[in-house]
Amino acid sequence: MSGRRFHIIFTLRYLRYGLLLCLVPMLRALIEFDLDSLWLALTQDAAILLFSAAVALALWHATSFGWEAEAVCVEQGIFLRSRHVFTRQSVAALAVERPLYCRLLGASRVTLYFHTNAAPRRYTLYLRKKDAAAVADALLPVQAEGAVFEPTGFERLTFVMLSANILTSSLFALWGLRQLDELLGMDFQQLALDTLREAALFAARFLPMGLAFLVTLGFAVMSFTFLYALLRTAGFQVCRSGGVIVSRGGFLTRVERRVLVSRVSACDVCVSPAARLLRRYPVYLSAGSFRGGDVPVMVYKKGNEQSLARLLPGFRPPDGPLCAPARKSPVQYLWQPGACLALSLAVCGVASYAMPQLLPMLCVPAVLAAASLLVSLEGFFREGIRANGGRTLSVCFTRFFTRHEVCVLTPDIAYTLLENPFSVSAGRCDVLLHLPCGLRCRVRGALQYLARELPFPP
Amino acid sequence: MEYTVPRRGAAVVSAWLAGLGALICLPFWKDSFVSTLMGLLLWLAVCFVILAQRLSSCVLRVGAHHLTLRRGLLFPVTRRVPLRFVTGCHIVQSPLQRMTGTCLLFLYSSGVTTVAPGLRRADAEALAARLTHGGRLS
Repeated sequence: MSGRRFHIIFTLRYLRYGLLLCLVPMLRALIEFDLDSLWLALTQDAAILLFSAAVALALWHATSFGWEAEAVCVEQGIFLRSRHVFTRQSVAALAVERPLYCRLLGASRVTLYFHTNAAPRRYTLYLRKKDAAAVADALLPVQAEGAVFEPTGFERLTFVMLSANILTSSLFALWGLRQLDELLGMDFQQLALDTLREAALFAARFLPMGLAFLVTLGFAVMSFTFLYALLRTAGFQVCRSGGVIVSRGGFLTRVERRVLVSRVSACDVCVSPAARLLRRYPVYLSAGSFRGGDVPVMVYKKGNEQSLARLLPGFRPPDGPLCAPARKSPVQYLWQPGACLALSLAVCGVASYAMPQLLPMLCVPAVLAAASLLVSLEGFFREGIRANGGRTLSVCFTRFFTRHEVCVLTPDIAYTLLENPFSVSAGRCDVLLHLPCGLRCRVRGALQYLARELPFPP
Repeated sequence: MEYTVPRRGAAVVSAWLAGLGALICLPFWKDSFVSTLMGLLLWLAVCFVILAQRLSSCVLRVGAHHLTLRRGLLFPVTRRVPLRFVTGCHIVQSPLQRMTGTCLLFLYSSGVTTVAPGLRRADAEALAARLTHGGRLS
């Protein structure tokens, strides 16, 4: 089928640039600050918007797509026409996203992720719902689906907790507040701050003042993070159909991801502090330029690795120990968290007689530094890299408070060995493993003679 | 097969950074001539002594299955890339590099871009032809 148009929502992509351009006349009007300049800026803004809308409509009119049995073809451009043909062999994963505004207009956003980094690495199409489903079926077809992971009850709760990402949720909250401010003309950011301050005053009845504010802020952030994770993971289900892993879920934004099993480049098991407490580990997959998204593909119970093997048959736990701690340098692992801990304790020591009322608040960074020290100590004993019988590569590394256990399934990787005079004299080096999706795994203190001969899985 | 970076190639690349430093120093000449001059001389020393040495120590080895790039004397960095996953090569030459017969070679593979700065043009072309099978990537 060929000659079909994108959904009209495609034009919004170009209208955004027009909105950004509108800021320039408004800025000039703000500097001059009189009615004439404002009128002139509004006229210019209207002209810019009309022009960008005309360009966007022309581009939309000139863009068409079609699909065959195993390929999708896109033609675009007004003066300079280009034609892209995306075959099934070039696609490693795809995501069909339906945010609320797309659902209201019957549109879907389809992102194709390719398995090499030859340009483009990914491509986004704005299609009608039926067209999006047809494109997804043409590139990564799914027949009979058998659910491999469908969290319910306590599993659902742990899945929500392990999917929560404080950073993205906080950014989303800030962005949402700003959008609300602009749309409704009310200062919601100030309102949120006032509410937080009142809650902190209430908490101060039971806790010291500084600590009360920190605890309230942490509670507010965590509550929002869990709410956000709850919405993202609503109705989450992972299926395996032939050679394709399909995950679906989301309440406001419905997301369907399809990953070709033969293109999976790595499987990352993240052992975060929450995962340790719950004794359940989230798993992220990467395939080609696809990094795994913001929701894990599944969560498995500690010691139940066979459930992961059911989803990904190529997964293999390490054959043996990944490192030789006796040959490692403890200083390399412990100096950063150790220095942070020493500094925090020194500040606490000074505060204990100079400003005792601040002591509870200053204990927070000391506790965090101590936790980081423990994770680094664990890294000292566990961090390493090992080839499993030449078929896969097992990598273990720590970053901040999380231990990552990665099973590399592709030979399409690169190694960088980093040395310094001290490590050379001790026969060690740091190994950076580059994955096709652009992620890097840093293993510290690997044995130099082994690192130089690290194989590429077949 | 082994390729090295000649001193003139390393010097040209270092000269770019030295020029950038001189450009940044421009607004400060009028107010504090001596300290700017000292800063610029220090930067030139860093560029032409430390950086040029590091760049000229770059060695590119092409084995049967993978490519190894090693550079640096005190802090060596070694990169290994499988040959069959090199997706493209890119040779860039500035006017000064055309005069000295050197170039920048970019090697693209999934997840990482490897740069060999200051390589001889003839070497870079031979390497590119070998890696891409005469322009036909496998």
